[in-house]
Amino acid sequence: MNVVMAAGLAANLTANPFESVTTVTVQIVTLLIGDQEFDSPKTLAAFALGLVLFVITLILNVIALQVVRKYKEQYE
Amino acid sequence: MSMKQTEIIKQGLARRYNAERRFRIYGLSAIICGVAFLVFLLGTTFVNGYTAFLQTYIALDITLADSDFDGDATAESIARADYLGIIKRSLREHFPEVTKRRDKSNLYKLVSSGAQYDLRKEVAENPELIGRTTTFWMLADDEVDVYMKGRIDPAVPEKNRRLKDRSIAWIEALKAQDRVERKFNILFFTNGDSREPEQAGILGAVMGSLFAILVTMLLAFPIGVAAAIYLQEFASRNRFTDLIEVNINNLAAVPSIIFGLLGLAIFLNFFNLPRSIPLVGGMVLALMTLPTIIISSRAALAAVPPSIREAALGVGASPVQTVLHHVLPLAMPGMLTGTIIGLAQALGESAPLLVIGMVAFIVDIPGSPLDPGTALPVQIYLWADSPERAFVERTSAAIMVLLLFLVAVNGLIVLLRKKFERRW
Repeated sequence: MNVVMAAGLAANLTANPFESVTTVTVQIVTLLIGDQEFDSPKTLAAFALGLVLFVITLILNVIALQVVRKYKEQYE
Repeated sequence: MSMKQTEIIKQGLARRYNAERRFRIYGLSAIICGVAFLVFLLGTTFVNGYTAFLQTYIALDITLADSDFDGDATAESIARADYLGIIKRSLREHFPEVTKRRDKSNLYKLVSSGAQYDLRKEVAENPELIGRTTTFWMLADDEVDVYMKGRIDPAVPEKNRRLKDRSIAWIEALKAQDRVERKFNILFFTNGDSREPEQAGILGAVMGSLFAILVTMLLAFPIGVAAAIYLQEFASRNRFTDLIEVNINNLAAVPSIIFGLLGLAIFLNFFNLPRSIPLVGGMVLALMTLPTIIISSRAALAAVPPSIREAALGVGASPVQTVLHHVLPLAMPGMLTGTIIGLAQALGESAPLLVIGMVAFIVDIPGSPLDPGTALPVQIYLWADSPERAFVERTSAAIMVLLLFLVAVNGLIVLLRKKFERRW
Protein backbone atom coordinates (compact mmCIF):
# COMPACT_ATOMS: atom_id res chain seq x y z
CA MET A 1 0.00 0.00 0.00
CA ASN A 2 2.74 2.36 1.00
CA VAL A 3 3.69 2.47 -2.64
CA VAL A 4 0.51 4.44 -3.33
CA MET A 5 2.28 7.47 -1.92
CA ALA A 6 5.65 6.76 -3.50
CA ALA A 7 4.98 5.21 -6.90
CA GLY A 8 3.77 7.06 -9.95
CA LEU A 9 0.72 6.56 -12.09
CA ALA A 10 2.22 6.30 -15.56
CA ALA A 11 2.36 2.78 -16.91
CA ASN A 12 5.89 2.39 -18.23
CA LEU A 13 7.36 -0.89 -19.44
CA THR A 14 11.01 -0.59 -18.51
CA ALA A 15 13.70 -2.61 -16.78
CA ASN A 16 15.43 0.50 -15.46
CA PRO A 17 14.76 0.79 -11.71
CA PHE A 18 15.42 4.54 -11.78
CA GLU A 19 12.58 5.32 -14.16
CA SER A 20 9.16 6.04 -12.76
CA VAL A 21 6.80 3.14 -13.00
CA THR A 22 3.44 2.24 -11.56
CA THR A 23 2.39 -0.73 -9.46
CA VAL A 24 -0.64 -2.99 -9.52
CA THR A 25 -1.77 -1.73 -6.10
CA VAL A 26 -1.68 1.89 -7.25
CA GLN A 27 -3.76 1.01 -10.28
CA ILE A 28 -6.36 -0.82 -8.20
CA VAL A 29 -6.65 2.09 -5.78
CA THR A 30 -6.97 4.68 -8.53
CA LEU A 31 -9.54 2.56 -10.36
CA LEU A 32 -11.68 2.07 -7.29
CA ILE A 33 -11.66 5.47 -5.58
CA GLY A 34 -14.79 7.31 -6.55
CA ASP A 35 -18.35 6.29 -7.17
CA GLN A 36 -18.84 3.58 -9.69
CA GLU A 37 -21.45 0.95 -10.30
CA PHE A 38 -20.23 -2.38 -9.10
CA ASP A 39 -20.34 -3.97 -12.57
CA SER A 40 -18.68 -1.06 -14.38
CA PRO A 41 -15.64 -1.96 -16.52
CA LYS A 42 -13.39 0.03 -14.16
CA THR A 43 -14.39 -1.99 -11.12
CA LEU A 44 -14.09 -5.24 -13.02
CA ALA A 45 -10.63 -4.24 -14.24
CA ALA A 46 -9.62 -3.62 -10.64
CA PHE A 47 -10.83 -7.07 -9.68
CA ALA A 48 -8.90 -8.60 -12.59
CA LEU A 49 -5.73 -6.87 -11.33
CA GLY A 50 -6.46 -8.17 -7.85
CA LEU A 51 -6.84 -11.68 -9.22
CA VAL A 52 -3.46 -11.38 -10.95
CA LEU A 53 -1.82 -10.35 -7.68
CA PHE A 54 -3.50 -13.23 -5.88
CA VAL A 55 -2.41 -15.82 -8.45
CA ILE A 56 1.19 -14.55 -8.38
CA THR A 57 1.41 -14.86 -4.60
CA LEU A 58 -0.23 -18.29 -4.78
CA ILE A 59 2.39 -19.52 -7.26
CA LEU A 60 5.21 -18.09 -5.12
CA ASN A 61 3.74 -19.76 -2.06
CA VAL A 62 3.44 -23.14 -3.72
CA ILE A 63 7.09 -22.89 -4.84
CA ALA A 64 8.10 -21.85 -1.32
CA LEU A 65 6.21 -24.76 0.18
CA GLN A 66 8.00 -27.18 -2.12
CA VAL A 67 11.39 -25.70 -1.26
CA VAL A 68 10.62 -25.99 2.45
CA ARG A 69 9.46 -29.60 2.07
CA LYS A 70 12.62 -30.48 0.15
CA TYR A 71 15.12 -29.03 2.59
CA LYS A 72 13.28 -29.51 5.86
CA GLU A 73 15.17 -31.94 8.05
CA GLN A 74 13.14 -34.31 10.11
CA TYR A 75 14.74 -35.06 13.44
CA GLU A 76 12.13 -37.37 14.85
CA MET B 1 53.37 -35.84 11.90
CA SER B 2 51.42 -34.48 14.80
CA MET B 3 53.78 -31.45 14.97
CA LYS B 4 52.91 -30.65 11.41
CA GLN B 5 49.20 -30.80 12.06
CA THR B 6 49.44 -28.37 14.96
CA GLU B 7 51.39 -25.99 12.76
CA ILE B 8 48.76 -26.11 10.05
CA ILE B 9 46.10 -25.33 12.63
CA LYS B 10 48.18 -22.47 14.05
CA GLN B 11 48.64 -20.96 10.62
CA GLY B 12 44.95 -20.97 9.94
CA LEU B 13 44.06 -19.73 13.39
CA ALA B 14 44.55 -16.00 12.71
CA ARG B 15 42.50 -16.27 9.56
CA ARG B 16 39.69 -17.99 11.40
CA TYR B 17 39.67 -15.42 14.18
CA ASN B 18 39.55 -12.68 11.57
CA ALA B 19 36.64 -14.33 9.83
CA GLU B 20 34.84 -14.53 13.17
CA ARG B 21 35.45 -10.85 13.87
CA ARG B 22 34.37 -9.84 10.38
CA PHE B 23 31.15 -11.77 10.73
CA ARG B 24 30.35 -9.98 13.96
CA ILE B 25 31.09 -6.62 12.37
CA TYR B 26 28.70 -7.42 9.51
CA GLY B 27 25.92 -8.18 11.95
CA LEU B 28 26.62 -5.12 14.07
CA SER B 29 26.73 -2.81 11.04
CA ALA B 30 23.39 -4.21 9.85
CA ILE B 31 21.85 -3.31 13.20
CA ILE B 32 23.51 0.14 13.22
CA CYS B 33 22.18 0.75 9.71
CA GLY B 34 18.67 -0.16 10.77
CA VAL B 35 18.81 2.00 13.88
CA ALA B 36 20.18 4.93 11.84
CA PHE B 37 17.28 4.70 9.40
CA LEU B 38 14.80 4.54 12.28
CA VAL B 39 16.37 7.54 14.00
CA PHE B 40 16.33 9.47 10.74
CA LEU B 41 12.67 8.61 10.14
CA LEU B 42 11.54 9.48 13.66
CA GLY B 43 13.78 12.56 13.67
CA THR B 44 12.36 14.04 10.46
CA THR B 45 8.82 13.19 11.54
CA PHE B 46 9.37 14.93 14.85
CA VAL B 47 11.15 17.96 13.40
CA ASN B 48 8.44 18.40 10.76
CA GLY B 49 5.57 17.65 13.07
CA TYR B 50 6.14 19.03 16.55
CA THR B 51 5.09 22.53 15.45
CA ALA B 52 1.63 21.18 14.64
CA PHE B 53 1.01 20.90 18.36
CA LEU B 54 1.22 24.69 18.56
CA GLN B 55 -1.24 27.00 16.89
CA THR B 56 -1.07 30.75 16.33
CA TYR B 57 -3.79 32.92 17.82
CA ILE B 58 -4.37 36.62 17.25
CA ALA B 59 -5.74 38.86 20.00
CA LEU B 60 -8.38 41.27 18.73
CA ASP B 61 -10.30 43.91 20.67
CA ILE B 62 -13.84 43.07 19.75
CA THR B 63 -16.71 45.41 20.42
CA LEU B 64 -19.99 43.60 20.72
CA ALA B 65 -22.38 46.50 20.12
CA ASP B 66 -26.00 46.21 21.20
CA SER B 67 -27.02 46.94 17.64
CA ASP B 68 -25.34 43.71 16.51
CA PHE B 69 -27.92 41.84 18.54
CA ASP B 70 -31.04 43.77 17.46
CA GLY B 71 -30.92 45.80 20.65
CA ASP B 72 -31.66 42.97 23.08
CA ALA B 73 -29.62 39.85 23.71
CA THR B 74 -32.06 36.98 23.39
CA ALA B 75 -30.85 33.47 22.63
CA GLU B 76 -32.14 33.88 19.10
CA SER B 77 -30.43 37.17 18.36
CA ILE B 78 -27.16 35.77 19.78
CA ALA B 79 -27.43 32.78 17.48
CA ARG B 80 -28.24 34.93 14.46
CA ALA B 81 -25.78 37.81 14.85
CA ASP B 82 -23.23 38.46 12.12
CA TYR B 83 -20.02 37.46 13.90
CA LEU B 84 -17.96 37.51 10.72
CA GLY B 85 -18.98 41.14 10.29
CA ILE B 86 -18.04 41.88 13.89
CA ILE B 87 -14.58 40.36 13.43
CA LYS B 88 -14.09 42.21 10.15
CA ARG B 89 -15.06 45.48 11.81
CA SER B 90 -12.58 44.86 14.59
CA LEU B 91 -9.81 44.16 12.06
CA ARG B 92 -10.63 47.41 10.26
CA GLU B 93 -10.42 49.28 13.57
CA HIS B 94 -6.99 47.77 14.22
CA PHE B 95 -5.75 48.83 10.79
CA PRO B 96 -7.62 52.02 9.90
CA GLU B 97 -5.13 52.79 7.12
CA VAL B 98 -6.40 49.86 5.05
CA THR B 99 -9.01 51.24 2.70
CA LYS B 100 -8.74 49.44 -0.63
CA ARG B 101 -11.21 46.63 -1.20
CA ARG B 102 -8.54 44.16 -2.15
CA ASP B 103 -6.37 44.96 0.86
CA LYS B 104 -9.37 44.64 3.13
CA SER B 105 -10.18 41.20 1.84
CA ASN B 106 -6.56 40.20 2.46
CA LEU B 107 -6.75 41.68 5.93
CA TYR B 108 -9.84 39.60 6.75
CA LYS B 109 -7.88 36.49 5.76
CA LEU B 110 -5.54 36.86 8.74
CA VAL B 111 -8.20 35.25 10.92
CA SER B 112 -9.46 31.74 10.34
CA SER B 113 -12.91 31.30 8.83
CA GLY B 114 -13.78 29.23 11.89
CA ALA B 115 -13.15 32.12 14.32
CA GLN B 116 -16.72 33.43 13.96
CA TYR B 117 -18.13 30.18 15.40
CA ASP B 118 -15.74 30.32 18.36
CA LEU B 119 -16.89 33.89 18.98
CA ARG B 120 -20.55 32.87 18.79
CA LYS B 121 -19.95 30.09 21.30
CA GLU B 122 -18.14 32.50 23.61
CA VAL B 123 -20.96 35.05 23.45
CA ALA B 124 -23.65 32.39 23.94
CA GLU B 125 -21.87 31.27 27.11
CA ASN B 126 -21.24 34.80 28.40
CA PRO B 127 -24.08 37.09 27.21
CA GLU B 128 -22.90 39.79 29.64
CA LEU B 129 -20.06 40.55 27.18
CA ILE B 130 -22.53 42.29 24.88
CA GLY B 131 -22.19 46.06 24.89
CA ARG B 132 -18.55 45.89 25.94
CA THR B 133 -15.17 45.74 24.25
CA THR B 134 -13.23 42.60 25.10
CA THR B 135 -9.96 41.12 23.91
CA PHE B 136 -10.49 37.75 22.31
CA TRP B 137 -7.85 35.32 21.12
CA MET B 138 -8.89 34.46 17.58
CA LEU B 139 -7.71 31.41 15.66
CA ALA B 140 -5.25 32.60 13.01
CA ASP B 141 -5.36 31.48 9.39
CA ASP B 142 -3.06 28.61 8.39
CA GLU B 143 -0.84 30.90 6.26
CA VAL B 144 -0.26 33.18 9.26
CA ASP B 145 0.46 30.12 11.36
CA VAL B 146 3.00 28.78 8.85
CA TYR B 147 4.64 32.22 8.72
CA MET B 148 4.85 32.45 12.50
CA LYS B 149 6.53 29.05 12.55
CA GLY B 150 9.20 30.43 10.25
CA ARG B 151 8.33 28.25 7.29
CA ILE B 152 7.63 31.07 4.87
CA ASP B 153 10.75 32.84 3.66
CA PRO B 154 10.05 36.56 3.15
CA ALA B 155 12.99 36.66 0.73
CA VAL B 156 11.02 34.63 -1.81
CA PRO B 157 9.53 36.92 -4.52
CA GLU B 158 6.08 38.06 -3.46
CA LYS B 159 4.26 36.54 -6.38
CA ASN B 160 5.51 33.09 -5.42
CA ARG B 161 4.00 33.28 -1.95
CA ARG B 162 0.41 33.03 -0.83
CA LEU B 163 1.14 35.37 2.06
CA LYS B 164 1.79 38.83 0.59
CA ASP B 165 4.14 41.52 1.91
CA ARG B 166 1.27 43.60 3.28
CA SER B 167 -0.08 40.65 5.26
CA ILE B 168 3.37 40.04 6.69
CA ALA B 169 3.57 43.71 7.69
CA TRP B 170 0.21 43.42 9.48
CA ILE B 171 1.33 40.30 11.29
CA GLU B 172 4.54 42.02 12.37
CA ALA B 173 2.52 45.04 13.56
CA LEU B 174 0.26 42.77 15.61
CA LYS B 175 3.29 40.94 16.92
CA ALA B 176 4.85 44.22 18.05
CA GLN B 177 1.70 44.83 20.14
CA ASP B 178 1.98 41.34 21.68
CA ARG B 179 -1.20 40.35 19.94
CA VAL B 180 0.17 37.22 18.28
CA GLU B 181 0.82 34.15 20.36
CA ARG B 182 1.35 30.46 19.87
CA LYS B 183 -0.74 28.33 22.14
CA PHE B 184 -1.12 24.59 22.57
CA ASN B 185 -3.18 23.28 19.68
CA ILE B 186 -6.14 21.67 21.43
CA LEU B 187 -8.21 21.74 18.24
CA PHE B 188 -5.84 19.20 16.70
CA PHE B 189 -7.01 16.65 19.26
CA THR B 190 -10.68 17.60 19.48
CA ASN B 191 -11.70 18.33 15.88
CA GLY B 192 -12.50 16.13 12.92
CA ASP B 193 -11.02 16.67 9.50
CA SER B 194 -11.36 20.04 7.79
CA ARG B 195 -10.40 21.68 4.52
CA GLU B 196 -8.90 24.52 6.59
CA PRO B 197 -5.64 23.24 8.06
CA GLU B 198 -5.93 25.37 11.20
CA GLN B 199 -9.27 23.74 12.03
CA ALA B 200 -8.30 20.20 11.02
CA GLY B 201 -8.01 17.69 13.83
CA ILE B 202 -7.19 14.07 14.33
CA LEU B 203 -10.00 12.96 16.64
CA GLY B 204 -12.28 11.72 13.86
CA ALA B 205 -9.55 9.49 12.49
CA VAL B 206 -8.52 8.29 15.97
CA MET B 207 -12.10 7.29 16.79
CA GLY B 208 -12.49 5.60 13.40
CA SER B 209 -9.28 3.64 13.94
CA LEU B 210 -10.30 2.76 17.48
CA PHE B 211 -13.69 1.36 16.42
CA ALA B 212 -12.19 -0.49 13.47
CA ILE B 213 -9.46 -2.07 15.59
CA LEU B 214 -12.00 -3.06 18.26
CA VAL B 215 -14.12 -4.83 15.65
CA THR B 216 -10.97 -6.47 14.28
CA MET B 217 -9.87 -7.65 17.69
CA LEU B 218 -13.31 -9.02 18.62
CA LEU B 219 -13.63 -10.90 15.33
CA ALA B 220 -10.10 -12.00 14.49
CA PHE B 221 -8.86 -13.18 17.89
CA PRO B 222 -11.61 -15.71 18.79
CA ILE B 223 -12.02 -17.00 15.24
CA GLY B 224 -8.27 -17.23 14.68
CA VAL B 225 -7.62 -19.05 17.96
CA ALA B 226 -10.54 -21.44 17.40
CA ALA B 227 -9.36 -22.23 13.87
CA ALA B 228 -5.79 -22.76 15.07
CA ILE B 229 -6.87 -25.10 17.89
CA TYR B 230 -9.02 -27.17 15.58
CA LEU B 231 -6.40 -27.44 12.86
CA GLN B 232 -3.56 -28.18 15.27
CA GLU B 233 -5.19 -30.39 17.89
CA PHE B 234 -8.23 -32.08 16.38
CA ALA B 235 -8.12 -32.13 12.58
CA SER B 236 -6.74 -35.23 10.90
CA ARG B 237 -4.05 -34.67 8.32
CA ASN B 238 -5.36 -35.27 4.83
CA ARG B 239 -5.50 -33.55 1.46
CA PHE B 240 -8.28 -31.25 2.61
CA THR B 241 -6.41 -29.88 5.65
CA ASP B 242 -3.29 -29.58 3.48
CA LEU B 243 -5.27 -27.45 1.07
CA ILE B 244 -6.49 -25.26 3.92
CA GLU B 245 -2.95 -24.87 5.21
CA VAL B 246 -1.61 -23.77 1.82
CA ASN B 247 -4.47 -21.31 1.55
CA ILE B 248 -3.84 -19.81 4.98
CA ASN B 249 -0.16 -19.42 4.21
CA ASN B 250 -1.05 -17.84 0.90
CA LEU B 251 -3.54 -15.40 2.43
CA ALA B 252 -0.93 -14.29 4.96
CA ALA B 253 1.31 -13.26 2.07
CA VAL B 254 -1.31 -11.75 -0.24
CA PRO B 255 -1.12 -7.95 -0.72
CA SER B 256 -3.55 -6.27 1.64
CA ILE B 257 -5.49 -4.60 -1.13
CA ILE B 258 -6.89 -8.00 -2.09
CA PHE B 259 -8.77 -8.02 1.22
CA GLY B 260 -10.16 -4.61 0.37
CA LEU B 261 -11.48 -6.04 -2.90
CA LEU B 262 -12.95 -8.99 -1.00
CA GLY B 263 -14.67 -6.62 1.43
CA LEU B 264 -15.96 -4.52 -1.44
CA ALA B 265 -17.41 -7.54 -3.22
CA ILE B 266 -18.88 -9.31 -0.17
CA PHE B 267 -19.71 -6.76 2.52
CA LEU B 268 -20.62 -3.78 0.36
CA ASN B 269 -21.97 -5.34 -2.81
CA PHE B 270 -23.53 -8.57 -1.55
CA PHE B 271 -24.60 -7.68 2.01
CA ASN B 272 -25.24 -4.03 1.07
CA LEU B 273 -23.56 -2.63 4.18
CA PRO B 274 -22.98 1.12 4.02
CA ARG B 275 -19.69 2.47 2.75
CA SER B 276 -17.11 4.27 4.90
CA ILE B 277 -18.15 2.76 8.25
CA PRO B 278 -15.53 1.47 10.73
CA LEU B 279 -17.56 -1.76 11.17
CA VAL B 280 -16.85 -2.82 7.59
CA GLY B 281 -13.28 -1.53 7.91
CA GLY B 282 -12.81 -3.65 11.02
CA MET B 283 -14.28 -6.71 9.30
CA VAL B 284 -11.93 -6.31 6.34
CA LEU B 285 -8.94 -5.83 8.65
CA ALA B 286 -10.06 -8.92 10.61
CA LEU B 287 -9.95 -10.96 7.41
CA MET B 288 -6.47 -9.61 6.82
CA THR B 289 -5.15 -10.41 10.31
CA LEU B 290 -6.78 -13.85 10.57
CA PRO B 291 -4.03 -15.74 8.68
CA THR B 292 -1.32 -14.10 10.80
CA ILE B 293 -3.12 -15.01 14.02
CA ILE B 294 -3.85 -18.57 12.88
CA ILE B 295 -0.27 -19.26 11.81
CA SER B 296 1.30 -17.89 15.00
CA SER B 297 -1.31 -19.56 17.20
CA ARG B 298 -0.61 -22.92 15.54
CA ALA B 299 3.10 -22.42 16.11
CA ALA B 300 2.40 -21.60 19.78
CA LEU B 301 0.27 -24.74 20.16
CA ALA B 302 2.92 -26.88 18.47
CA ALA B 303 5.52 -25.55 20.92
CA VAL B 304 3.63 -26.92 23.94
CA PRO B 305 5.48 -30.11 24.95
CA PRO B 306 3.57 -33.34 24.12
CA SER B 307 4.24 -34.54 27.69
CA ILE B 308 1.67 -32.02 28.96
CA ARG B 309 -1.05 -33.43 26.71
CA GLU B 310 -0.07 -37.01 27.57
CA ALA B 311 -0.12 -36.30 31.28
CA ALA B 312 -3.56 -34.69 31.07
CA LEU B 313 -4.94 -37.55 29.01
CA GLY B 314 -3.27 -40.03 31.37
CA VAL B 315 -5.13 -38.75 34.42
CA GLY B 316 -8.40 -39.04 32.55
CA ALA B 317 -9.04 -35.62 30.99
CA SER B 318 -11.07 -35.63 27.79
CA PRO B 319 -9.37 -34.20 24.67
CA VAL B 320 -11.37 -30.97 25.01
CA GLN B 321 -10.42 -30.63 28.68
CA THR B 322 -6.79 -31.33 27.80
CA VAL B 323 -6.76 -28.50 25.28
CA LEU B 324 -8.79 -25.98 27.25
CA HIS B 325 -7.29 -26.58 30.69
CA HIS B 326 -3.69 -27.41 29.89
CA VAL B 327 -2.55 -26.68 26.34
CA LEU B 328 -4.34 -23.38 25.71
CA PRO B 329 -3.07 -21.54 28.83
CA LEU B 330 0.48 -22.50 27.94
CA ALA B 331 0.08 -21.44 24.33
CA MET B 332 -1.65 -18.15 25.18
CA PRO B 333 1.45 -15.89 25.32
CA GLY B 334 2.51 -17.05 21.85
CA MET B 335 -1.00 -16.51 20.53
CA LEU B 336 -1.07 -13.00 21.95
CA THR B 337 2.25 -12.24 20.30
CA GLY B 338 0.74 -13.24 16.96
CA THR B 339 -2.26 -11.08 17.70
CA ILE B 340 -0.01 -8.08 18.42
CA ILE B 341 1.70 -8.48 15.09
CA GLY B 342 -1.61 -8.87 13.29
CA LEU B 343 -3.28 -5.92 14.99
CA ALA B 344 -0.27 -3.65 14.54
CA GLN B 345 -0.37 -4.51 10.86
CA ALA B 346 -4.11 -3.81 10.74
CA LEU B 347 -3.74 -0.50 12.54
CA GLY B 348 -1.22 0.80 10.02
CA GLU B 349 -3.03 -0.48 6.97
CA SER B 350 -4.73 1.87 4.58
CA ALA B 351 -5.04 0.17 1.18
CA PRO B 352 -8.05 -2.05 2.00
CA LEU B 353 -9.74 0.89 3.73
CA LEU B 354 -9.32 3.10 0.67
CA VAL B 355 -11.16 0.53 -1.42
CA ILE B 356 -14.17 0.24 0.91
CA GLY B 357 -14.62 3.99 0.98
CA MET B 358 -13.07 4.99 4.31
CA VAL B 359 -11.18 7.62 2.36
CA ALA B 360 -14.17 9.99 2.19
CA PHE B 361 -13.87 13.52 3.55
CA ILE B 362 -15.75 13.29 6.84
CA VAL B 363 -15.89 16.18 9.29
CA ASP B 364 -18.10 14.56 11.93
CA ILE B 365 -16.45 12.45 14.60
CA PRO B 366 -17.83 8.90 14.51
CA GLY B 367 -19.64 8.01 17.73
CA SER B 368 -20.17 4.32 16.95
CA PRO B 369 -18.79 1.73 14.51
CA LEU B 370 -21.81 2.42 12.30
CA ASP B 371 -21.04 6.12 11.69
CA PRO B 372 -18.99 6.99 8.64
CA GLY B 373 -15.37 7.69 9.48
CA THR B 374 -11.78 7.46 8.37
CA ALA B 375 -8.78 5.78 9.96
CA LEU B 376 -5.46 7.26 11.01
CA PRO B 377 -3.36 5.89 8.13
CA VAL B 378 -5.98 7.05 5.63
CA GLN B 379 -6.02 10.48 7.25
CA ILE B 380 -2.25 10.66 6.89
CA TYR B 381 -2.60 9.67 3.24
CA LEU B 382 -5.26 12.36 2.70
CA TRP B 383 -3.26 15.10 4.40
CA ALA B 384 -0.07 14.14 2.63
CA ASP B 385 -1.95 14.72 -0.62
CA SER B 386 -3.28 18.14 0.39
CA PRO B 387 -1.63 21.17 -1.19
CA GLU B 388 -1.67 23.52 1.83
CA ARG B 389 1.69 24.07 3.52
CA ALA B 390 0.17 23.73 6.97
CA PHE B 391 -0.87 20.14 6.21
CA VAL B 392 2.79 19.11 5.97
CA GLU B 393 3.33 19.48 9.70
CA ARG B 394 -0.09 18.03 10.43
CA THR B 395 0.80 14.94 8.40
CA SER B 396 3.90 14.43 10.54
CA ALA B 397 1.94 15.09 13.71
CA ALA B 398 -0.66 12.52 12.64
CA ILE B 399 2.14 10.02 12.08
CA MET B 400 3.33 10.65 15.63
CA VAL B 401 -0.20 10.11 16.93
CA LEU B 402 -0.45 6.87 14.95
CA LEU B 403 2.87 5.68 16.40
CA LEU B 404 1.69 6.51 19.92
CA PHE B 405 -1.56 4.68 19.24
CA LEU B 406 0.39 1.63 18.07
CA VAL B 407 2.60 1.71 21.15
CA ALA B 408 -0.48 1.94 23.36
CA VAL B 409 -2.26 -1.02 21.72
CA ASN B 410 0.89 -3.12 21.72
CA GLY B 411 1.66 -2.19 25.32
CA LEU B 412 -1.77 -3.41 26.36
CA ILE B 413 -1.26 -6.78 24.71
CA VAL B 414 2.29 -7.12 26.06
CA LEU B 415 0.84 -6.59 29.54
CA LEU B 416 -1.75 -9.29 28.86
CA ARG B 417 0.97 -11.63 27.66
CA LYS B 418 3.05 -11.01 30.77
CA LYS B 419 0.01 -11.89 32.85
CA PHE B 420 -0.53 -15.20 31.06
CA GLU B 421 3.11 -16.17 30.78
CA ARG B 422 3.97 -19.44 32.53
CA ARG B 423 7.15 -21.41 32.55
CA TRP B 424 7.59 -25.13 32.77
